[in-house]
Amino acid sequence: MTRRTSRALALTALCALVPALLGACGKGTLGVPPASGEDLFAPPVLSTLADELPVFQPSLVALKDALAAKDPVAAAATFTPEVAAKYQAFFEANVENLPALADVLATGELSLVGEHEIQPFDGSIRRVGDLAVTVDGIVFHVTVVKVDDTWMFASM
Amino acid sequence: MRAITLAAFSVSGLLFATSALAWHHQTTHVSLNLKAYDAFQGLYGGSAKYERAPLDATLLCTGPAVTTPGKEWIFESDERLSVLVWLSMGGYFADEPEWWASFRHFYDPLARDGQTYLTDDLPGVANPHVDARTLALVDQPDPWHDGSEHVQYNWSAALGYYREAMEDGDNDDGENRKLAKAFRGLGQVLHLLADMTQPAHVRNDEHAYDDPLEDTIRVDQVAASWASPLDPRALIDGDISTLFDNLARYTNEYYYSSDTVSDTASGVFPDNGKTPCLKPQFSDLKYDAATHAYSGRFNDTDVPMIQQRLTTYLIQRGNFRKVEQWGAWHMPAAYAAWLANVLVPVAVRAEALLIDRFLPTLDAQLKLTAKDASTAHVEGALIHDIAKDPEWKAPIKFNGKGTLRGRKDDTPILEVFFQDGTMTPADFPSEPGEVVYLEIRAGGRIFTSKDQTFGEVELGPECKILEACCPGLPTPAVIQQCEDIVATANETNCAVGQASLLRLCRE
Repeated sequence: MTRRTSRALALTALCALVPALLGACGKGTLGVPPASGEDLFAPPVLSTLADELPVFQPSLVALKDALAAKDPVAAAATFTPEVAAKYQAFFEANVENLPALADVLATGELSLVGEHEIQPFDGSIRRVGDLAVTVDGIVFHVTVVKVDDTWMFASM
Repeated sequence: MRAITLAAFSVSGLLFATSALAWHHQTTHVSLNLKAYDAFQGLYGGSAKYERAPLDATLLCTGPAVTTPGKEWIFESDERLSVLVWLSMGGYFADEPEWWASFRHFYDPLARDGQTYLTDDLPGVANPHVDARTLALVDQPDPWHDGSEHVQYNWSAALGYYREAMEDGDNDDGENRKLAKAFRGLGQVLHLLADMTQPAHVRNDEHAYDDPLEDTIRVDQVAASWASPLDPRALIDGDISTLFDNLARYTNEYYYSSDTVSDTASGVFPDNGKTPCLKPQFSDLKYDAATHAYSGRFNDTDVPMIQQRLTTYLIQRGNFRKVEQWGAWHMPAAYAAWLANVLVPVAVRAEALLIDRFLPTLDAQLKLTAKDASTAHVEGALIHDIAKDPEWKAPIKFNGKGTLRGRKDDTPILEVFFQDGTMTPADFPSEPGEVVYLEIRAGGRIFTSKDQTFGEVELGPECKILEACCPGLPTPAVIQQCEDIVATANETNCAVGQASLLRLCRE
């Protein structure tokens, strides 16, 4: 199932996902009464964290490479459009230290991916994720967002 | 199938924010509504109100469902779904079409920026300036219908559909169209109520691009956490208007959203540039130096809420220079599960209360008397005890059909009819000891009366004289004839019988 189709699931598709829901949708014989309502709804199936690990890796490499090269513009380009300018300003104010930030990010591990996709007004399809980065023994969480097919950084 | 179009839709299509859809509508909200049904059954289903009036969640109802979701337009067509599915899918339909829903599901109880509706919007946005509580409770034109139609699925509309279903006399037509709309409407209001437990929705945070909390919470987390202990500071009580306000104030006071982290003492202001909420302040929270995070205390558990940004830590460490307006704190997606554990129980239990408030307190009453020895006379009513239903402004006067059933094997005995809540009296053949009850299937409920027993008939004086004679008659055939006359309990019959039988009696 592609992300776009999962996003556009219509009610009929929801009804088709689970046999129990068929009865509840009136397209079959209603069998056991849904006493708890447990099995009536199956959410869209998205890719797993394991699936996303290799998809995420190029984005992390791109940021680290840009930082190592002291290139604020290239580094900011790995951030979501709405925050890119803010982070570019930060990188430009800290050009000499960017390689140190690249070293910090070397510990980064994608720790979770969101359960839902959303579609903001810009028409993109987005899915949130969390990058765990360890610095001085402290695990910091960096918010990452998959924008269409590319993971980008959103809050660092 | 009909297309619903946006009269005010921008040509560019870029003038509407859209992602601010609260708990995810196709998954989380549906799950919340389903769990609310579970909670309703657990908390209220066993009460006297439902003892003889349970909700029939399996009842199939035909009505308009969103079959093609969309941003600016949707398609609706008839679907035949159970009451429970209408209730749960209302959680999904409430966010359709998404662009309009995205603005109207916010309610800042403190109106920190002067309004209770969302003001943290995008430049040039066609903001309808309606908050979630108003959308839920106040009859109003629906802007995405060009104002030509009113909001179809708010609280008063849902109550109205339910009333129509009870009063239109069609409770046995098999379609249950009014009920489909009633339970869809209830489901949509449940969605709005649940939004009052999403911090961004009560703290004027548009969260247009992403929200670490609502984008991350999993359906299985809803399932796992809804029965977790309830934070006693969450006041799940009051009329529906108060309930919305109570929930919004609770969430506003004890939680941050990602873009509204603020602290007066340390000069931290919301990333979205809006007026800071009054609470929480860092002094209300617990700082953990090991994680550089602040936690709130909920049910004797520390729940991580916000963490210092990595860049801020590097700035503080002295390696990096700060730039202007650098937000120091954010809400990591990794904390969503913790927050879900405390917010989901509040949402689900508040929704459960609303389901209970929605369903009227109706009592099926049946009175049985003996018209004669073999004929029962029944009168009945379906009484709305409106004193127990603050959300209902006038009593429901049921019109439709019911069934008189024998308790022995639930066999239907008689179809009965109601007008304005009162059953048309009826007679039916019966025999002493027969137990009957009234059943009314309406409003997605199965109303039953208390059992009534057809008792022995009090004989008149003529029949008593004949009854005393019967055992002394000479043959079994004549004895049977005598007993049959007595069994009619008819004084004229007994008097006539005396004329021929008393002289045959043996002393």
